[in-house]
Formats: sequence, structure tokens, C-alpha cells
Amino acid sequence: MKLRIKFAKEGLMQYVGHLDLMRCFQKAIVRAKLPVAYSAGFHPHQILSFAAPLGIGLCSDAEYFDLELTEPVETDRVIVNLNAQMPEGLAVKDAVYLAEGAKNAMSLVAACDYVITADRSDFDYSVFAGWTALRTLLISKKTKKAERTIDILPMIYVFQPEENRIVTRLASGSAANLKPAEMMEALTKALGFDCGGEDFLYRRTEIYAKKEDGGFVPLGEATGGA
Amino acid sequence: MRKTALTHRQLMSVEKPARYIGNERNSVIKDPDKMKTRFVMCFPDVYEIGMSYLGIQIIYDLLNQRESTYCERVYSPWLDLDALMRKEQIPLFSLETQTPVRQFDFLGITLQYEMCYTNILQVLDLSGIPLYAKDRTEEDPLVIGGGPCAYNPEPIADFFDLFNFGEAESTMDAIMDCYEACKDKGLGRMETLKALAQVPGVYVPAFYDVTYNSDGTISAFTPNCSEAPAVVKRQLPADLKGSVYPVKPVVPFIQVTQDRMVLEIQRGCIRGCRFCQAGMVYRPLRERSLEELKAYALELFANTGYDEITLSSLSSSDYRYLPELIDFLIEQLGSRYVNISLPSLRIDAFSLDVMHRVQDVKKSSLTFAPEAGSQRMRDVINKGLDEETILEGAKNAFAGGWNKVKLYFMLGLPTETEEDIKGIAYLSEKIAECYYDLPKEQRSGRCQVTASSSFFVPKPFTPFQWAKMDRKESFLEKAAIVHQTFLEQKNRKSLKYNWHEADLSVLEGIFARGDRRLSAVIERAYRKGAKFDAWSEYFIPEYWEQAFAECSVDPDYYVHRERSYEEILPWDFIDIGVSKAFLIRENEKAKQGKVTAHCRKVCAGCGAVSFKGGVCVETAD
Repeated sequence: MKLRIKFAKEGLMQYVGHLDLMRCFQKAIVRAKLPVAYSAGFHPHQILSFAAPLGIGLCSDAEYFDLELTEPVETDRVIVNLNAQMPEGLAVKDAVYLAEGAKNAMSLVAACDYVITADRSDFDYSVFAGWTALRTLLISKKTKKAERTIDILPMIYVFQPEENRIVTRLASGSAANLKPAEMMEALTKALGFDCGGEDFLYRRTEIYAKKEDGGFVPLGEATGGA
Repeated sequence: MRKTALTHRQLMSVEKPARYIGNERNSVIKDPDKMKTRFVMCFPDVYEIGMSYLGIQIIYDLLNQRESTYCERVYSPWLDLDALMRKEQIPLFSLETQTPVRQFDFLGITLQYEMCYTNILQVLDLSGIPLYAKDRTEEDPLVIGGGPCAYNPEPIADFFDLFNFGEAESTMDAIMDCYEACKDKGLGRMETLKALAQVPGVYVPAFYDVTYNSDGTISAFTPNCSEAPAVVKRQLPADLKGSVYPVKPVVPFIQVTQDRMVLEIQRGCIRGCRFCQAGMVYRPLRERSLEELKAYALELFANTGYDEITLSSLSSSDYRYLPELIDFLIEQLGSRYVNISLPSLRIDAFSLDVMHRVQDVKKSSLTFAPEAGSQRMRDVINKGLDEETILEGAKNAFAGGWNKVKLYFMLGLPTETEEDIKGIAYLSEKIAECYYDLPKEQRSGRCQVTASSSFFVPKPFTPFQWAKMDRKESFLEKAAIVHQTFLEQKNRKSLKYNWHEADLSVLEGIFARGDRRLSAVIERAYRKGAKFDAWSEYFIPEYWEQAFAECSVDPDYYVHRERSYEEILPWDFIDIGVSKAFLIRENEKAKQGKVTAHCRKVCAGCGAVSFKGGVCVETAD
């Protein structure tokens, strides 16, 4: 049986990278004495898969991983036991059992919400109002073989400057993936501002799967079977 | 969120920012305002190296068990942060509370290898603490050193306020109690050091004067105040049973070099290899009890969640309860998906059986450390290993499915001849032949015998402490001869030979047996930019060549001369428990190629019996 765990990552933990975070959870799961399932083979590992890696320096309210158990445990107990093992900056928010045949978290990822704030307090967010006039937003992406230019504008589903922040929804997952810092770097350049992607702080607030009707549903609710 | 010493922007501009944030599992948080003493413990190398070392976990645990004391940690900032800290004038800080190091009562520095000496200066410098103890004020912490390199503290004596000779379990409480009493009395720095100098095992370099003869050797080494003892004796727990064990070690977020649970099964060694400093300075061998180790293993697992455990000690095969311990670990932890990582064991039927149970034979290799190629040379160094045993082990290993073997050797050992070093290639060839002697159906392809040689560095408190070390040119010539001999072997395609760089070994040799005149050289090299010398890619020999020349110190004096038994050695004032008479006896036996049996066979009268513990008082059970 599989559980989908939702957790928040912030504070000091934003400086711990994805692979190290996985190792941190693997140890916490052992200490919490959860009946986790292991793979076969000479080097068995926990059957555990994260939805979408979060870069170093980003906080998040909603990260997800799927965890296979060998016997059922009440979800409330999973949350309490895991939280007893969490370092400051990590908090398990929810745990939901997946229906038989449900897709794994990673394959479902289609979009992410981010809240973006400038790292200085006197920043005027209204300067971004001009973004609606853009017809393309080009960035060059380096692959192993070549460098190619792509238009990221279609990957920006929502971009909403507010009084003291920007709220945005960006394409995520294997088909199309846009990182918020990448977007801000391109956007500030296109609009001719004297700043770049590293001048902003980023917080992921939700990860979504795509519904059949084209709408988005948080991963924590996309737990049904095929 | 807990505050960080570095801003978000600074953390984002360095590689692996998690090196600098603390917050790891089992790191200790106390209220600094309620503490009498704040201690910051440093391993002067990068986080991943420092966090791999059990000794700091022991000291961290010991000190934090004291209600009045708070011990935090600090490591060398990596080169990227080092540059940023200098540019933006950020003082070095502790991990737990992110407090500037200069605000602590103590800065403890562990001395695990000589090549970290410039990193000590890096840590002091970035902390804003004067490099020389004589320039420090009431505003600076007391800088205390310990660990194996402290057994010749003289090259770095000027940078330390005090050293601790011995094992933390038997000294740290006494040192802290004495310090806290001084603090209660409101004593100043000098008075406090005078009180500390009377604690057994403490050495305060400023309280000793050294004078020299015209040939550069020491003419006298004498205390200059009544509080300082003429001889400082190493302190240690006579019995490890019942001593504290760090069963809640700090668990790093980032992958460190030794990223696993560590079970120290025993301390000290019975073997008496004549080149080995650890084998002398940790005498006598003291075993931990099987029952305690079993309990520690389970507690370590419950407190960390690690998926691997390793055993730590010198010559682990000598631990008398090894089979029972390994069975227990496989049964109790192996069943919970914990890998058992074995230390290098003597290759015999028992160890091969254990390896079969815990390793993927196809992927693993077997390690032998014959240390020398010829039997004559192995007798000189008292290795206690004969060719027959080595070949027998190899045969059994090959028959058991292994086809990769690693061999470790040394070049430049006392009395060494060309035949001795060629023996490295001959022995490797014989091992390969053991493989090809097997019936074809028992083999799987070609075997791979990899021999590596390092250059012998004479160390204090060993029977070879008087020996002349080879020159760099001679080392490289010898390596070339060995290499050539390998190419002449029948099975050369199955043999591989590697040798180490010689520059680092020579510098290590200088520091290992150096004296107080070297501190100026170390400072000069550091000012030129030397740091992380232990990392061969960052080691710049030119800095050191220039530093020796500019300080008018002849490096050859320290390495390339034979010392006489009468000469006063810089470390003679330390009583490690093993007598000079014993070391001389062993050196003379070495010259005659005579071996000395290990402690469990017959007592060689080394002097460690004065500690009244371990193998010296052991009864067979």
C-alpha cells in the first residue's frame, strides 16, 4: 500500500539539496519505525519517490513523496511519528493512502505555484505590469549537445504582480519545466530592469496534477486509481 | 527560523551551503546564557572530512553531558567561503548557535594529520584570533590541541595556549573543572593557564624554554615556572568498559566521507609494528565489552536511522569477540536493511566467511597490507606476517570467488635494499599466480592485483623515531625501480602499481619530527596562500620551498639525518607510557631483523603496564 506524504520545507532546510533531503527522510522513516517496503536485490532501498525536486534556496509549503508500506498504519500516526523525527524547517502536513493503480507523484506533476518576493523591502512590484505586452520570452537552454533558444511564455500559466509579491503558476514536470528563477531572470532582462533572478526569494506553494478537463488539482488530491 | 551567520545571498553563493547551517539530527542546542563555559570543537578540514571523525563525536558528547558546558562545532570553510569571508570580513562562526568563534572560552582543535597545520592558521585567522598564543588577550579563547599529532606538538606549539595529551574520557572533565574554578575566582588568562598546567596531561608551551646547540639540536627543554611539570604524562582510561559512548552522534545532511554508524570495538594495538605511531601511542590495547557494543549498535541505529555500520579499531581481527559481534550485527541490523561494512581483517577462513555473508563478492576487493615486499623487510618492521600466510589467504580468497586484490606497501623503510623493494613486484606476481593456478572453471576472467606504495615517514614515539628519511629523489627512483620490476613479471597484465607523490610525504616528515623553529615557516607558507595542503590538488610545494628559504630554516635537518640516542628530541618531555629504553631495544632488533612477539604472546616490557589496564592485565576467558 502506498502513502502520499505532504510536507513543508523552509528556514535552514532550504539550504539542503534534493538528494540530501531524500537521505534525511530515509533516516527519519527508519527512526519513526514505519513499516516501509524495501526493493529486492543486493542493495535494497526504501520504496520512496519524490514528486518534484526543489532547488537549494527555495522554500515550500507543499512538497510530496510516495512511500510504500508493508502493512497499514493510521495516517495520523504516520504524521505524528514522522514529525517527531523532523529537523527544524521540515514539517509533515498530511498523509493520504493512494487508491489501487494510482499514478505515482512524479509522473503526475504538471504545474507548480510559486510566490515570489524581492529580497529588498522597497521593491515596487507594479513594474511587472508591462509583462502582458510580451509576445515571446526567449531563454537559451544548454543541453549536453547544444544550446537552443526556447520561448517560455507558454509555460507561464499565471503571472500576477500584487502589492508586495508576485503569484505565479508555471509548467512543471517531464513535458515542460520552468524554474521560477529562470523566469525572473528572463523577465527582468526583457523588461530592462536592473536586477536578475538571484534578487528574488521563491516559495513553492503547491504542486498540481492535470485533470482530464484540463484543470489542475493538488497532488494531495490526485490519489485516485486509473 | 534560527539565525544564520551568513545571509541568504552569501549562502546561495557557495557550494554546499548545508556545510555551514548546523541543525543536523542530534546536534545539541543549549541556552548559551546559562552556560559557564562555551567550547567550540574544530576539525581543521572541510565539513565532510571533519564530520567523519569519531573523536569529535566523543568530545562533543562528553562536554555536552556537563550541565555547565556547551560544546559546539566548527570546520574549515571551503575555499569559496574562505574567499568570501575575507572579502566581506565575516568572522568564522560555530554551527550550532552561529556564534563568532572568538567569543568562546575554548577553541579545541584536533590534530589528526600534519598536513592540516596551515588550516589551523586559517581557522584562527578567519576567527580574528591572533595566530601566536603570545599575542592573545583576555578577549580571545584558550586554544587547545589534542590528537595523535599532539605527540609532537612543537612545530605548532607557538599557536596553541595548551595541549591535552591523552584520551578525552580521562582529561576533559578535569580541564573543564579547573577552568570553571578559575573563572569563578575571576582569574586572568595567565593565572588560568598556570592552574591548567597542573592538570595531569596538560602542556602549556609558553611555560617551557628551549635552547639549542650550535649544530641545531636541542640543548635543554626546561619549565620556566613552578606550575609546569618537567614531564607531562599521557592520560587514558585504563578500562573502556563503562565509559561513555556517543550513541547519539550528529547525523549530517550532506554526504560525508564516512557516512555511517561507527562502533569503536577497541583502542590500542598488540602488534607492535615498528613504523606505526598509533600502535605505540594508544597502548595498551583495551577492548570494549561485547555486551556494551551490542547495546551501542542498537542505540546508534535507533538514534540515527543510518543504513550502514562499520567497526573501528586498529587490527580489528585481534578483538576477541569479533565473531559474536558480527553475528549479532548481521542478525539484528542486517535484517533491518543495514549494511555491515567490515574493517580490514586478517584474511582467514573466518573473515572470508563473514565477507561472503555481507558483501557482493563480485564487486568487492580484498585488501592486504604486507607493508613490505620481502620477508627480511617485514621482519625489520615487525609486521608479523609471512609470505606463506599471505599466499594462503590469497588462494582461499580466489577460491571463494574474489578476483580483485589490493596490496599496500611502504618504500624507504630503514635498512631497505633494492632486493627488498623489488620484492613488492615479486609478491604481487606470486599472488596473481595463485589465481592462475586455480582450475579454469573456478576463475572468472582475469584477476586484478593492485599494489600501492606510500613513502615511509618516521614518527615520534616509534622505534624508528631516530631514522633518516629518504629524499624525494630517492623515493621516486625507488618507485621507478618497483614499477620497472612489475613490467618484467609474467602476469604483468593482471598487475597494477601506484605510488604516491613524494612532496607531501617529505613535508609530513619535517613536521612529524620538527621543533619550535618551524612555526615561523608554517606562518610564512600560510601568508603566501598555503591551505588545505592535505588535498593534493591544492598543495603548492613552491609556497613551502620559499617559506623555508625566507625563514632560513633547512628542511633537510629535520628529515635527512640519523639522530643519535643521546640527542634530546623535541617530544622527549612527553611520557606516553612506552619507554625510550623499549623503543631503543626495538630499533636495535629491527637492525638485526629480529621480530618481537605481540602483547598476547609475551610481554615485551614496553612500559604501558604502568597504566594498569587492557591487555597488560587481561586474563584469558
